[in-house]
Parts: sequence; structure tokens; C-alpha cells
Amino acid sequence: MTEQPQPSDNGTQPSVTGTRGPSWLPPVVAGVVALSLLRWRTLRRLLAAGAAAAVAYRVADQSGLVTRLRFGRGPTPLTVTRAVTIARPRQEVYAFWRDVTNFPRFMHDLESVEVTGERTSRWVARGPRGSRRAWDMEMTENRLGEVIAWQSVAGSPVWFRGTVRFHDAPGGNGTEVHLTLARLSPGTLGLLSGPPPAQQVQEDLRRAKQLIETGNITTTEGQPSGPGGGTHQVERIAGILRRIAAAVERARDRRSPGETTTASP
Amino acid sequence: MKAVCWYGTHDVRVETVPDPAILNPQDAIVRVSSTAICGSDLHLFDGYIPGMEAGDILGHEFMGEVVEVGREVKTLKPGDRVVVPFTISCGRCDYCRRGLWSLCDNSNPNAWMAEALYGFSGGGYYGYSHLFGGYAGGQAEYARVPFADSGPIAVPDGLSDEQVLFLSDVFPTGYMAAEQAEIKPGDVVAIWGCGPVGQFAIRSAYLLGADEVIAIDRIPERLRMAEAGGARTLNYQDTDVVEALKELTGGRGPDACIDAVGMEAHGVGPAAWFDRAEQAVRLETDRPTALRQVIQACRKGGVISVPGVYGGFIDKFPIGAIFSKGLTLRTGQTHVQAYLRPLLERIANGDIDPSFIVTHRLPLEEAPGAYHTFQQKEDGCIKVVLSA
Repeated sequence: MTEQPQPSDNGTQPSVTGTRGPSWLPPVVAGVVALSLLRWRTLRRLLAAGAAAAVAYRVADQSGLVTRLRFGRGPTPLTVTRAVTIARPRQEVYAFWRDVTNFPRFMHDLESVEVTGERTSRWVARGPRGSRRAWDMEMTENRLGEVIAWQSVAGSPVWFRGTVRFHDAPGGNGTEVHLTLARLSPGTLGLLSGPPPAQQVQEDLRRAKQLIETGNITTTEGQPSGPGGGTHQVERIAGILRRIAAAVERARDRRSPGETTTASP
Repeated sequence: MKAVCWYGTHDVRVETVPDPAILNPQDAIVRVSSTAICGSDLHLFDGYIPGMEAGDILGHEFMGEVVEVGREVKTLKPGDRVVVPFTISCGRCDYCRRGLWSLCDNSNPNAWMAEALYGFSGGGYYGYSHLFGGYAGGQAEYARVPFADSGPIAVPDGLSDEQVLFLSDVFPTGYMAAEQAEIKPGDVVAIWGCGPVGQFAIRSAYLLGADEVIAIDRIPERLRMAEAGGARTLNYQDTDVVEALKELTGGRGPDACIDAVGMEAHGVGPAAWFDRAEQAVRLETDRPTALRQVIQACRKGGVISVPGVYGGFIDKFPIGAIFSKGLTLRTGQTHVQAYLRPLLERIANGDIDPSFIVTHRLPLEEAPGAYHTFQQKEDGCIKVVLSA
């Protein structure tokens, strides 16, 4: 479960080593001096303005506006890599992933995949507020038992790339599956939506493992519970936590943008 | 159907809920004949396990008759009388195949929650919070049993419910605790906590060849039951346990120590009060009062086995004592499936009759009162069996 090492943005990050004293010290000293000169009411107003600015920034950040402002009009493809070990032979695991029609069974928000050619398939995903988005994918790499990669064809409304690599687990204990996903699609008001959250990729892999190892996806959906219950409080809190985690991840990824060379959506 | 539902701390109700249905082709539905309240259910009752929701059906010790099976179930058929292990295990993942059934990779649909807390998630359990899968439990008239081919064990009609019901949890849990204590002939084993798991650990320690078992508790009827199982007993309320154990072992200390108490330990003195205060303000989620004493009392190079449930974080953990004495610490939820067959054999040959543990027999409808009685340890309550 490791983040893909992101290629560093040479030159743009100022080097910390070699500077005299911590870089945060001068602004802090200046700030303390400035604050000590201000009246209490002014200070309160400044603090309130600062808080409002922070909230505004969060909103802008969430909506993707910040990404767009920072990186211009083009998209910033961001990747997430997660791994899982599946207790089945490599060829069998590979065969499961080679069949793209298996994907809607375990991938978040993916509604259907239809094979349209030797290397091409049409994907339909659920979007926000009941919307649907369809696009064509092309297999760009396929080495038997080793790696498969897909990418959305040029001109698709969604930019999507997936790579899955297979390795034998140590000691012959199954197959390591390393999945890398990158996705960008227009969201609210045409602003960019972020990459798939790492948690979601992890869940996709978990469900794929359940399918391959047990033939089914583990569930409690539809079981009884006492009246007045079933408020799904836990799921609700979980949803909130997931969104926060995804936002944090996006913010972190933005600080070290990955591949920036790819096609526009 | 009727089911025992959790609605909050100290709020358990019997409600009418929909009957369970087959949700996966590997599920079975069991009509529950007997179900028990476990000491670990009291952690839910007392509100110490996170991830409970109003309306959740409780219970993870149950048995009954298979009434329906999914189309992929191969080993069970309607009419089979089965005991269901509390650990839900797929039987196909690496952990299940290595016999570490409670660590199943695939049986917790909310694995991400446990992952956030513990780094990785173990398997799911019946009626034990959404952290551990959110499965509806077995304190009900019917229960859905997922992965029906790698859980339930068929039991012969010649054995009564009360003789085999505890294969679902407390007997294997006590047995695994003793097994993990690596007992060798001639060993002296000390066991903290004389609840059901402690009682089975006492008897299992003797089955595994212990020379002597010393049991520690404060409740007279539990100490009496421990003595009936062959243990020498200490009441920690009127004895300095660590000193007494030294004295009883010629100054060496017990070779193996078992913590069958867990996260809601009671104790005496400032340390116990300190833990109560810290837990009350959530500076620690679990009270390690017993565990500290276990570590202090254990001989050099000894083994500590922990079947008692811990859920979160503890304070003032004496890692220095563990290190300096070269102790081995063994823990974990019971790999129940691994013990079903061997322990059913032990029961069938008469090596042990687990029904000794039952003190209260009640209909399912009386579960709320039974939780209270068990929690307060009133009326000599050690183990409650509910008949559905």
C-alpha cells in the first residue's frame, strides 16, 4: 500500500538545505512584531478575515478551482497506486483483469463496460446527481501475466488511465496486484474533479480480491435490523471521513503533481 | 422474527424485525435453537466498542437448524443441526488457508474502518459492531450465516445444545488461550478472570498438561467454579496477587499467565482508579489493570496469552517488564474453525462437558434483563443461555 513515487518538479521546489535558519522564522518574527503593534479590535478583524479566507480557499480547493488556477487550463493527471495480494495463481488473476467486463463488478461508480473491439471497450460511469458519462477505452499495453494498461481514447469526455501489474507473491503465496489509476473528468461548473481517492482504489482492489478468491462480494446489504435503527449513522460518518480523506489526499497530491504530459480531456 | 437489538449504552431491546434472507449464494439461514450472551457482548452493552448503530442485532454465540442454503453451499443442507463459530471466514484467503481464521481477508465488508484504526483488518464477527463487519447477530430467531461452507459444524443429536453451544466461542477461546500459553508438563499457569473464558482456560490448561492452575477473580461463585475445575484460587481484593503467586511458585512466578479479563478490568488501589478515570475521559479506551499485573507476575522467559478483548489504546503499558524478563506475548481473536472438530471430539469422548458453565436459562424475550443481571454479576450469573 504505497503511494506511487511522484517525479519531483525539478527547480520549482526551493531547496531547504543550505538556508540560514529555518525559513519560517523571519515571517513569524515579523508577524509577532506587527501584531504587537495592532489594537485588539484590528487584530480580531484580521483573524476573522484570515478565517474567512481559509474557508474560501477550502471551497475553491474542493471545487478544483485552485488546481485549475495553479496549473492553467490543461488537466493535471494525478495517479493513485494501491496493491493487494490475491491467493490465486498469476495467470488466473491476470485472466480476470484481462476481461474488462469484470470491472463494473468491483469498480466504484462504474456502471457497465461493453467490449467494442479487439482492444477497445465502452465504459459507462455514474457521475454526481444521477448523471452518467460514457467514453471509449483502449488497451495500450498487454503482456501475458505481467501487465495490462488502458487509456481513454483521444477526445473522450473523461481522461482515464489504468495500469495493473502482476507479480508472484514471495513463497508462491498468490499474486501481487499493483493497480495505478489516473482519472480526470469535468465536475461542477466544468471545473476539474480530482483523481480517484486512494481509499476508493483500495476498496476496488478489495472487492476484486473477494471476487477472485471467493466468487462473491462480501456484503451485509439487505440484512435485518431493529425498528428506528438502520439510520446508517456509521456509513454516514464514514462518507464524511472518506470525503475529508479524499480532499486531504488531493491537496497532498497537488503539492507534488505527477505526470503532467498527457492528453487534454 | 424476534431479535435482541442494541440501541445504546445499557439499552438493549427485543424487537420484531424482518427475517434474514440469503444475500450471497454462499449464505445459509439458521433457525436459532440456543444462543448465549458473551462477556464480550458486555463491552457493547457498556458502550466501549465503537461503530455500533441503533437497531443492530446482537449475539455471536448461537446454534440451530439449517433451514435454507444458497446455491453455492456444498457442505450443509436444510435440517442439519449446527453450531456456528463467531468468526466469519471465507476459507479461501491466505489467512484462512493457514488456519488463522479470525484474520480472514475477505469477511469484513467494512474492512477500511478497522484498517484506519489497526493498520489492517481482521475478519468479520456476528453482532459485533460495524468495525468488525456490521453483521446481524445470532440473538434472534433466525440468523444469516455467510460463507456457510467454512464455518458451521454439524453436531450429533446425542449431545444437548448446552454441551455443544460453547464451541461457537468461549470453549475454543479458553482452549486457544491455553494453547497459546505453550503449556508444558510441569508448568504452573495463572489465569486472571474466572468468567466463562477463564473457566474454559482453566480446564483446557489441565487438558494440555499443566501441573497446576491458579485462578484469580473476586466473585465468590466464580472462584468456586474455578475450584471445581481443579484450580487453586486467589481473590485479588484481599491478596497481593503478585506476592501470592511468587509464594505459591517457590519464588519463580507462573510459567504462563493468561489475561481472560480484557478491556474492562476491575482492580484495587490507585492504579485501578487511575485507569477508571482515564477511560472515563477517554485518555485510554481500555483499562489494562489486569494486564499490568499479569506482566508483573509472570516469571522470566514466560509466556503471556491474552484472550481478553482489547479494542483501542491503553496507558502505562509496562513494556520494560516484558523486555527485561524476555516475555512472549500472544494475543488475538480465536481461530474458532481450527478448534471445532478437535473440541467436539473432546466433548463426545467425555473429556469435558461444557454445560457446567450455564447458570441462567431464559427465553429470548428476557434478554434485556439478562444483560443487566450478567453485567452486574447479580444472582450468581456466570453464563446466560437464551432459547429462541
